[in-house]
Amino acid sequence: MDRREFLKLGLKAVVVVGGLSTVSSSKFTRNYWGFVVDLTRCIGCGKCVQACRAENSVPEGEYRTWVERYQITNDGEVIVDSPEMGEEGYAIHPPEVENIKTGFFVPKLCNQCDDPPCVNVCPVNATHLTSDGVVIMDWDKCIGCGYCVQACPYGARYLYPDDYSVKKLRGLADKCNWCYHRIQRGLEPACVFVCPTGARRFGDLMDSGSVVRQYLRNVEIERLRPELGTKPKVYYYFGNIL
Amino acid sequence: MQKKFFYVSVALLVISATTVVNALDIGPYHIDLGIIDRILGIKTLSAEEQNINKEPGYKGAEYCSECHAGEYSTWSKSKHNLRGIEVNCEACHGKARTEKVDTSREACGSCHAEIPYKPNVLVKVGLDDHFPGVKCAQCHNPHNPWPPKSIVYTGGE
Repeated sequence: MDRREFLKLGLKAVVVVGGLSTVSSSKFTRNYWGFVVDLTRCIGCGKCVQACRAENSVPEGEYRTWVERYQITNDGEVIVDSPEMGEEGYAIHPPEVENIKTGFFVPKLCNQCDDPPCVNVCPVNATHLTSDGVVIMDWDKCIGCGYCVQACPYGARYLYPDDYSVKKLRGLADKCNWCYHRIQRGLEPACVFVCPTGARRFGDLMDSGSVVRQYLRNVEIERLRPELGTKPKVYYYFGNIL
Repeated sequence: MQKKFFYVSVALLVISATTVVNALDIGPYHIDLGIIDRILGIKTLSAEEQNINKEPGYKGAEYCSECHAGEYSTWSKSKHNLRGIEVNCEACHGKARTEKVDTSREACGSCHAEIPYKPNVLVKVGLDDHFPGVKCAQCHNPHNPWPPKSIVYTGGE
């Protein structure tokens, strides 16, 4: 065998090995996750925000999830406020406006878009949509330019502050990943787990029996800013609230 | 020239052998070339692995029940554990092993206070007129809040 033949053989071997490793690298589950927020059940207690902070070591003053209060006046004006981003609950923050027709609490989080603007703008591919439908960060690649923070139409991203406890994450971007470490272990995200009223539901969009799919059979389902074409996977069930 | 060729082929052989072994995924035979990667500055953890590489802090009621069996059995039959929508231990106690609980009226009130726009999904209590100044746990066992304990209330109205 001369050198040329050997190299050819080597090339073939590399191709075969490459093929093998792609096949077997799919050790992650084949679910496609979805999230439902039931606005008819949210009581604005803020436990989800607290749990998210505790589970994911979210720095002080930043939020992966938060709860907003929507108030609609008799004139049809919509007033949105969010004291402390709802973390301490709304029982200690009574509404200050009058002439209100109706109101409700709206939990917000990363919408895990199927066409995520944050992924599209990232110059170093530090964030991507996983095969099970979650947009996650790659902190080894992130350079902290903040484009994704700007690009997100839902305001779901932030940069770790410069005094963050984990040194290598300082200045890098962070976002809700639906508690990827929990859902890969068969648990619910922390916010869903602590929600006392079942206002936050999590499940597999591929499983027709999942609680998320049951909600999707309703008509009163809306996504946030669908006109942007981001295809979010957080569905809001508004029932008869409006 | 021959020597160089030899080294290159040995390196190729080692790399392909490790990849094959790792790809076949046969039990303990996982060869980690991580140290070479780290020397060369090559990334070793995928984004998925970075995100998954963390133990869950909120463990669930079964985990708590390993030590607190009494509280668990009280809670599991109570109205705080209802129709698949439960108020988990860690919702009030904080995440596992942090061992703190707020017993103030405001803590219970964060869910049960009568506040504007709250949907009718749980018992609402006006904190200002329902026995003001008395801690909730004096009459209601938080693990099984209803019916209240048979305690004669002696304070003023």
